[in-house]
Amino acid sequence: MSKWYLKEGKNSDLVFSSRIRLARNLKGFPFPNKMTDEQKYSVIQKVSDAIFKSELKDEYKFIDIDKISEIEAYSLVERHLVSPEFVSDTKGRALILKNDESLSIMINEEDHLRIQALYSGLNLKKSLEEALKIEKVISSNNELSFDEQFGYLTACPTNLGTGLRASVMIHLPALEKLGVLDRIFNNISKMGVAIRGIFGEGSKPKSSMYQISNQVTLGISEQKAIEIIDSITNQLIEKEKEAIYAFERSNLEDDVFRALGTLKFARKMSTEEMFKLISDVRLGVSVGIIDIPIPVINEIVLKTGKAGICLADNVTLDADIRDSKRANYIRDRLSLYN
Amino acid sequence: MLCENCKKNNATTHIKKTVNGVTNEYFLCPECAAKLGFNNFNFFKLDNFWNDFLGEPVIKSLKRCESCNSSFEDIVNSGKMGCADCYNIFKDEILPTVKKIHGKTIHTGMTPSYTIEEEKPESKIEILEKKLQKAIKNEEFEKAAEIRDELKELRNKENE
Ligand SMILES: [Zn+2]
Ligand SMILES: [Zn+2]
Repeated sequence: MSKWYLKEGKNSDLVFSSRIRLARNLKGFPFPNKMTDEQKYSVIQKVSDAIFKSELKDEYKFIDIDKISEIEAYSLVERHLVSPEFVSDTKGRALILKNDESLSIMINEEDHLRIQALYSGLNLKKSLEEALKIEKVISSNNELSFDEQFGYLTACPTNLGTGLRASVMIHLPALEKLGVLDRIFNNISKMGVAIRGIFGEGSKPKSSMYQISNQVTLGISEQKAIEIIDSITNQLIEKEKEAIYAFERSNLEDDVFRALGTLKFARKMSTEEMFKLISDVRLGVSVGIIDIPIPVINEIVLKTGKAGICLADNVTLDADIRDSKRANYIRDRLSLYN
Repeated sequence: MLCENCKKNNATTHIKKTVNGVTNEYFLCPECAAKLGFNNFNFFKLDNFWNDFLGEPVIKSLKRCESCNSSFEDIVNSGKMGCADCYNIFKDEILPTVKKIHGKTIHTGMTPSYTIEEEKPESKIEILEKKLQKAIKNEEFEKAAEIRDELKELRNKENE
């Protein structure tokens, strides 16, 4: 089964992914912060039974997060399949992962269940459908904590109600360069939507990638929540596409080809440099300067993180060796494209 | 207000910390709050209601959740409810915080028996109207008043 990021979705040159996360808890157990280890194992058992005794069983695998290496655990974080918090304390936790990595279920993170569906490009509706499909399988054997007034009950009141967090990761290099993002983000944040930079450090990430997600989960329906994120994303896509005209084509071409040249020939590459160069190459694909499949670019980003690059050896490598391995991997992946 | 740490993002997180009787206040963006290790204080948003509780030993209640043994103080300190029943037992205490976080206090999304793939969903007003009738029938007048306020707000918006 081909991985989710190898599929091309709607607007996937700009939109890296559409993600839905549902927080759910099983009735009859305290929340994870108050659970005994025995109760945690019991929840893991109930959830796995529901999935691996259903007809979906062949599509999923069970990962005992407590038994895998630290490298393997952090590579899951880099591939956006689990939260950093989830692998920081692995006892009494488990992961159920769909073979194509488009769906993951963290068991006993902050809530009993954190169901997450990922889709390439802009398609929150599809992600929500997938998340709900597996939620139904689990809840057919397990009653979920639900309250007439507060909706789905969660350990933290910030997730009450739908327990739904919809987020879109979007590439906004032109708007960023024009220095207008702060103003745009300020307006958006008034609508109960949060924005932050991802991939790389700081509020202005080298990747020029931003995550947009809803903050409010109570008193808003699932459809409405994703509609808002969807509409903001579409506006950003439009603005980004306009903004690119502010730049001289020949200068853009120069930036794009320099980035591609470095990626194709460098012998050592840090993650921060990779994020910057990949961003330029992605821009080049967006505006039609070069023709490299977006899935190839996505795969590089997801697989060459600090942990991902050590995965083959399954030991922590020195930064210098990592940088060599990263450069080798990228060179190899891009050798087919000019 | 700008974040005191990075001076770039909007400060949406208000942290009050009392050490040896000296109270320090911080106004941070969520990113810096997490970076500085305040990420457990998820719901200490600006003008947070629970902050007032921390400095008020008078209100300190002896009430505990029968299911998980959490006190309200435990919940404030950890930033997390102990179990589903805590929402019932500490409802009065938590309601203003819920209102601050979400602006609303009543769920209008899916329920375990109704899901999105089925028929066209009812409008939010219809859902709230049903809940209002139910609350009145059950003589939950406080809740009914909340629903009525939300309905009013919603109708005003629609008429704009
Ligand atoms: Zn800050
Ligand atoms: Zn409790």
